[in-house]
Amino acid sequence: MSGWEADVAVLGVGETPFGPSDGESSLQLHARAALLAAEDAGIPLREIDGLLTAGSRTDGFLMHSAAVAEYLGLQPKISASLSLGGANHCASVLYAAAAIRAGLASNVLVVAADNLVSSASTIGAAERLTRTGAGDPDFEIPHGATLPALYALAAQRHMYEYGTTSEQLAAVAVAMRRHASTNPQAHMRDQISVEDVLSSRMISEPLHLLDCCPISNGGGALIVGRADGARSPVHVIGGGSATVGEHVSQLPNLTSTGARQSAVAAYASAGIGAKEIDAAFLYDSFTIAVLVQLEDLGFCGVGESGAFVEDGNLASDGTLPTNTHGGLLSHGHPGRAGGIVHLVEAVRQLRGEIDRNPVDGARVALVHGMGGVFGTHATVILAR
Amino acid sequence: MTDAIRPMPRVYGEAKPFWDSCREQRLRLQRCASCQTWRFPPGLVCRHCSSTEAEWIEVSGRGSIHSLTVVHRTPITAFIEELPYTLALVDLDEGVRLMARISGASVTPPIGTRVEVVFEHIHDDVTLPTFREVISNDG
Repeated sequence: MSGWEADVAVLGVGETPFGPSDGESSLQLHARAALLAAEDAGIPLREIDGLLTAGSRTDGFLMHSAAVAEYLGLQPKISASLSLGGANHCASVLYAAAAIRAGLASNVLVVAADNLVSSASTIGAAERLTRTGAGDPDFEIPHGATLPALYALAAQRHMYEYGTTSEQLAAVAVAMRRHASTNPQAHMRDQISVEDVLSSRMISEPLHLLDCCPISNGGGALIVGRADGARSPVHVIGGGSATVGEHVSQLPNLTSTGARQSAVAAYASAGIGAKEIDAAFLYDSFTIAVLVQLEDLGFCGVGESGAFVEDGNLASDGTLPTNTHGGLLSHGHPGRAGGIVHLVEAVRQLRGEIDRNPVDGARVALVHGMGGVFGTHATVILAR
Repeated sequence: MTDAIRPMPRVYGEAKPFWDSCREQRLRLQRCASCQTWRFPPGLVCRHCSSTEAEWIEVSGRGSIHSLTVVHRTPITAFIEELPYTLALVDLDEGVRLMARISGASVTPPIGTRVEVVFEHIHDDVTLPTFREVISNDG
């Protein structure tokens, strides 16, 4: 492996079940995931000296990572709560690796969880989340922008430029649901067909209900530290990130995003290319997001992602096994924690621990996180 | 209980000249006094040359549709009775992109359609730009 020195690794991972289940606070879910990751790593929680969190859409702590540290009884040397949306967790792994190499910390807990279902079911919460979400409060939301509408604008443009079809978008949702159907941790497990997606109610054209991820409760955690002496390390062999902005109306391009810059940096640092990736974990908040990432990350040509997905390449036994846990679209999306289980699943696949949708012989995995609507990006390349 | 207050832009500071112009049925944008790059949304710094000098100039209000979507569901109570509506990204001829509703006879024109600004007064302080298909062929 000619990439980064393989000195930093993911030492342990943990995840709570995802779903609509109620009754646990966001902090409780953080703690459950963190304890599982610590146990998995064989590292007592008290030896955690770095903490990176992603905030919460339900808890309003001024200093979220400090609140999580306090709840867990930790006094980390470094702590921060990032605000990169879905890019948070991949960026946290990269920042953890940098902090460890700089000697700022030894064992960094990356943890995110949210109980958004519990919150969203309260009157007015969905409206509040939309008003304070990814849309510009002055120049987008007053015109009626919703989160699905912002992604729909990209989907329409992709269709216009490349002839992408609603059936091809639906194929992403179908593939994710097939993976989730065998995962007892997943939120949505009943198998669906392309016809089911197309006949689900229209949200914002061309996106149907099943082109959109559900809102879930749940969380995940990873411990990043030195690979030396670790029980079952999965090495962080490369990474990259890019921030291009916050709002859709100011994106330079709706169909090619900062994922491209992020991936170029990640591949260069790992000394490999897209062809060497055995499994991919992409940020699938909406079906269109997967198509755009497949192209930007170099897994298919520009404009070819629709056909690539329709040909079945995302299946666990396909040419690019993708989101084998079911992704945000079916495993679930808990607010600020959306995407962290992509990292957990990647680690488990590389360790050969997944027997439901195994990627046989997987050695290298790519995880990409994306925040807002194509605004922030981070890519992590992991290897056994 | 959810209030049905319509989300409004904040009419103050650097954006105030933009909204004040809209209320007068005119579309004005900042243009960098140093490199002539148009600036939207309003801001202190030119994204091209970082100059803080700018002048407000009235523009034609004409452009073309970069993308659009018909919105069928919204969690924002105040917009529910307006469903379905068309939300678009419009590329103004000056080279800036802005989000706005499509109004007029045809609310689902294809991407690339030439459009012109039409103002919709929604509140004492707030008039929103919307766009309709250009019917005349001089656009």
